[in-house]
Amino acid sequence: MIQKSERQADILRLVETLDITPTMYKNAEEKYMALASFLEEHGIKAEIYPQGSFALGTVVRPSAKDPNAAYDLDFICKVPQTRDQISPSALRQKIEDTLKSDKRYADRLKKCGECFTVEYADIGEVGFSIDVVPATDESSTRKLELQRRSARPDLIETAIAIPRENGENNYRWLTNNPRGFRTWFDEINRPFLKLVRDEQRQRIFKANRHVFASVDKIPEGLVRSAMQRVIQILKYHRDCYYIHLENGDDIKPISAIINTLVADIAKSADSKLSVYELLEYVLNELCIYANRQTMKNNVFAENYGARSVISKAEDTGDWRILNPANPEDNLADKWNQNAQIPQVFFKWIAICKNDLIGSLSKEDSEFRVITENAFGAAIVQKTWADKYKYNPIIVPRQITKTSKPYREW
Amino acid sequence: MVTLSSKTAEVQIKELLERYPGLEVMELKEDGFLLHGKIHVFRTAQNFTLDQTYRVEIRVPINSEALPTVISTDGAIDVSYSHRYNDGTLCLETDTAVRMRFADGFNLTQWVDEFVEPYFFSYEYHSRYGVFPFGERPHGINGLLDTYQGIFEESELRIVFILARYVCEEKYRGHSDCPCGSGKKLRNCHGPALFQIMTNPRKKAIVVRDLQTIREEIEKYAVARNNQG
Repeated sequence: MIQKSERQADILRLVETLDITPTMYKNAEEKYMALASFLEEHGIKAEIYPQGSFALGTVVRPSAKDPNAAYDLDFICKVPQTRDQISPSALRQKIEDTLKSDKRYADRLKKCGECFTVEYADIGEVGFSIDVVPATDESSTRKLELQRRSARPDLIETAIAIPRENGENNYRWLTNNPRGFRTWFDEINRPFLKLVRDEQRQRIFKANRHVFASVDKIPEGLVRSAMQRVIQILKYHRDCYYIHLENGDDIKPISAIINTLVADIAKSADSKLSVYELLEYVLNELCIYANRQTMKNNVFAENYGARSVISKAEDTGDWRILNPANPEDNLADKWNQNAQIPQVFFKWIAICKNDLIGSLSKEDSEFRVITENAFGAAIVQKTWADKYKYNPIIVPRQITKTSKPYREW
Repeated sequence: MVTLSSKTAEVQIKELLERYPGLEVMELKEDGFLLHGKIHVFRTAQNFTLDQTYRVEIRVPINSEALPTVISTDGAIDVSYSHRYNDGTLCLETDTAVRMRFADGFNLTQWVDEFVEPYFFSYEYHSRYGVFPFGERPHGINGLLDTYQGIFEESELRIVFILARYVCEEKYRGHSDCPCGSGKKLRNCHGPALFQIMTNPRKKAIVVRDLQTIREEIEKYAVARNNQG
């Protein structure tokens, strides 16, 4: 007898293994606070705070493709100077020089487009790296500009300017607002979080007595609401899917898009929904948005109402997923440069829905194979052992002699 | 090349039915066997697993050079799929690729294992990801050339043609210069790929026939160009 609730619970168990552990969380906290102290000792009184998945509580382990892949934890390193007081190149140089001056950091340091990456190998587990993005406060002129255009001017106050690479070692300022985004996100997440907070904190405490002295010591950042879990599920499914495409890294939806879409859709959902109920709701909504590929705006509105989480500009037909904390940031701008991106995005969503929702009503063995294809056979085997398999002794045979389909005319 | 006598076909079919108990012989006529039923494909590659059963019809010609063919009868393969003929026959591979394997001495069971099952695998993988797991052959004559690029392990078509001629017209001499013009000895260059064909009369016969086909295509192309110019 097919037990959907049991299957849903089993999938959630899988997803839990993708999360960072409380130990790693504590470790990461210690590391970035140490980094803040270090910079202060060297005359840089910066405010270091998490952004992205670490801030939002949606970290997932890196996909199994690269065995050396580490968890990426992103941080902003905001210096007290304003953007008018220091040039973007000078800011980067200052941070770089300071980090390089100490062997502890110099040895682990890597430069990337907008950030500095400090790599840590976790003992026995997957490593993690701290991506530090240098930043200054945005200028008041810029903030006023953004506030005028924003549906949420109150979020703009926290806008920052970060150095963006502009050619060989040349940088210009780029406006960003991770704090504003987090505020927006946390607002929507609050009722979802309230539902599970206490029960989860108790559970985490019981399972991690060696790490936390009391329930009170459990950081909020370890609790996962339904909304956060849905984001984790989609992110990991995305990683497993896009790996099969040669240009997967270039065309996969960035996490910021997934965070925004899920939160924006969850706004209209009942905050008492379970993880799976919310997942189904989100995927159904996204499948509806797929119609924007073929329907003009007015036809879409006739059929599906005022849905605007993903929209298309009336004049240009450009895809729009607006960053709620930065009206100038269209998260879907790459969608308008490469038609393959939205096309594969909606295809992926349809497959995701089939993998996670459609599979629930299939036979056990089919459910198992679908889940393995969705999340990777190794992690499924690790968490489920042989559960749902038709016959654990019969394993699929590798295709070693490959043949290429052909058509003569 | 592939020619199965009725006796050999019987033996091979018996083995096939043992391996795929969902299949049965539907009819036996003078020109061959017709089998139908289900095959269970449970294969994996590139982090994708296929576990599905398909209804098929398999035609096994006897006393003929024709290759066995398979039709999907349960609608599992979309009619718009490019590697499917209008009558439902599945385009498993170029004839040459399949004949080369039969010339290696393989049988119907291996044919299903190496060509039919991976065909379904490719189809499902492509449905999911939009790309082919093992690639696909280009249509028409280009598919044939593509096959030889693989067999000779040579990407330059001009050299593929030279090697094909060598196979048909020369004797294998490992110590002489490779016909590709690299300056290396044959045995240290394209030799190994050529050797296994030149020492197998069935394989060599395939190349002879294909070279003729390629020549005819070149002729057609030259005539067309002349007519243009």
